Amino acid sequence: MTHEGMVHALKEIHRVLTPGGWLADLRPNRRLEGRRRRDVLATLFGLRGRREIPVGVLEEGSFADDEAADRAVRRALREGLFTLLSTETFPFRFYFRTLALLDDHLGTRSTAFLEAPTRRRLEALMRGGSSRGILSVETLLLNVLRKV
Amino acid sequence: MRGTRKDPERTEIRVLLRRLPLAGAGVLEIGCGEGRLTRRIAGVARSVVGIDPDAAAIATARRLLPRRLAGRVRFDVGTGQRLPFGGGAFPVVICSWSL
Repeated sequence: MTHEGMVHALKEIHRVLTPGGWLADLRPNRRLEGRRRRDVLATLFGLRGRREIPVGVLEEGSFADDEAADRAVRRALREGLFTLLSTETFPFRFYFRTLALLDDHLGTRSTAFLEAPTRRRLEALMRGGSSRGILSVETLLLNVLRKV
Repeated sequence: MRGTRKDPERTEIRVLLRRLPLAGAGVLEIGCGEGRLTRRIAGVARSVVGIDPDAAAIATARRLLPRRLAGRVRFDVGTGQRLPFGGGAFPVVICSWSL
């Protein structure tokens, strides 16, 4: 969705809300991380027995949608449609039994990708007999707003 | 999807319940996808309407809806940019990964 589309959607939401109604804006909170300033969508772990073994990150190719959404929310606040009550982040855990299932998931997230060294580490872990799969931990952002 | 589990710890709904007056409310969820979060919201809300532009996802959401929730949950194809509801129809709107 374009920035203008998001602004329009927020106006539509304002219209269908009751006076004083609540809006939750829930979405991935992508972040820049590490010395390479990589765009990180999620941290990946191999699951072996009860252990969660860190193997790398899912990288994000573009922040454009997130920046557009942030701008649209700021504009709705500036225009007096809503007040911002709270902002928080929390972990969202997504489990995949196989690497192929993680790849299927990546197919639905068009700008996310897995770098070759991370893929090789995952493949090595998945070859082990006691592997229970892959855990992807994303950080989600929740903005809570109220209609003015 | 078989072999995948999204948020089995139910962190997302627990955070929403802490921040929003969902109990007994009429809720609109925009970007409901296959209805994973919608079904969890329906456990506490009076009613939930889930909309998503992906018709295949909405068909799956309808198929996965337990019979016990059928009277309180509706799924429709749609987007946040054109909401087919009257003014002041919902006390709570949730944009799920859709802004």
